[in-house]
Amino acid sequence: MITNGSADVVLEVDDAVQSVILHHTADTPFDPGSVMSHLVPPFLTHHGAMVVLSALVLLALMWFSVRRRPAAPVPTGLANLAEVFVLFIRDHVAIPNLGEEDGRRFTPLFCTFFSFILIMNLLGLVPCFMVATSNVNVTGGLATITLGFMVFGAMIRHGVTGFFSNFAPRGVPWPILLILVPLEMVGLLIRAFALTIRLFANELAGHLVLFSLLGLILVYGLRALPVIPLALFVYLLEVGVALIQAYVFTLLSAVFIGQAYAPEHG
Amino acid sequence: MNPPDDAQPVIREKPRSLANVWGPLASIGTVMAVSMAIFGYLGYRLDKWSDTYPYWLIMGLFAGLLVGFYDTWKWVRHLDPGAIGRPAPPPAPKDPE
Repeated sequence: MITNGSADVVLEVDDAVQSVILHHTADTPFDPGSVMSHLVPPFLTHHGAMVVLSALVLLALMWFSVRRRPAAPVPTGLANLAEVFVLFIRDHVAIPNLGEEDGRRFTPLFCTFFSFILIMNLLGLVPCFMVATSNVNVTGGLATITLGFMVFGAMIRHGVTGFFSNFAPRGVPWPILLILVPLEMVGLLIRAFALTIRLFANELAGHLVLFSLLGLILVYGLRALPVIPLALFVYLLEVGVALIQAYVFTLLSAVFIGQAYAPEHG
Repeated sequence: MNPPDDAQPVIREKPRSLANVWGPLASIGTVMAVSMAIFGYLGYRLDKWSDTYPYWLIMGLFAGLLVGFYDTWKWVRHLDPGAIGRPAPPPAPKDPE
């Protein structure tokens, strides 16, 4: 494509690579085809479709995991794997941050966070699919749930007055409180926003790097073949990132909700 | 050999993992960046509105930095590196009332 050495041709290839990268990362309206297009709502986008698909995959996996098998009272196979995840979230994420009682109560929420984000991240690594968590609306929606528990859950637990009094640490002189109280209030919102941006930025950046590396093949042809092992390495790294980001989002949600429920520990 | 009847039951707490002690620190960098970005943007919009560029932008960036440092301080003051692998502290005894 660039054999004639023309700068215009190189520029055209650059534009093509740029459009390919944007096509694979930016959100666009979902159109499954002429026959199926009447069945999907017009507001559904590719990332929205991936969220729905991830939810369906998660429901199917959970259904296969928890269906009763009278012949095998001890969980095996997929149920065993699901139990490992649930026990890990309960014993290492929920209970250490929220205590025994609240930790057990919140375990379903954190298991849902972890498995849903993990499925969305991993499905995004399948060729022809898109990663829904690279859309800030998706991660913002998840972080809003956490923020809801941090604000309304804490209000229900401590009362409205108790919730606002938690912004003023005890024993602090009032001139300092004039600075501390706004900082605490803003910090609450900033933490939820940081949850949104962390997951979104990590997933988007990983896929941009991957597509940029593969795009070098289009620009430089055979000379760029050594980037294939590098792209493969980044792909494997993304599998790790998918797991780590699902875990970090769940852990930080537990920490933030735990701090809102027991502010004396925060 | 059976233990004596008056022996206290041994509660085996799970040791705290590296992730549980240091994991929340993953929040620090993002909170710092996000708070500076939000306050910087608010300052920029205020500058555009009042035609005072770049004073509110600089103020906003400093305010974001302040929020970020305060959040960092809140995390770090409870940091205990020796807690990794040590059992979690027992829960506080419940008030009989």
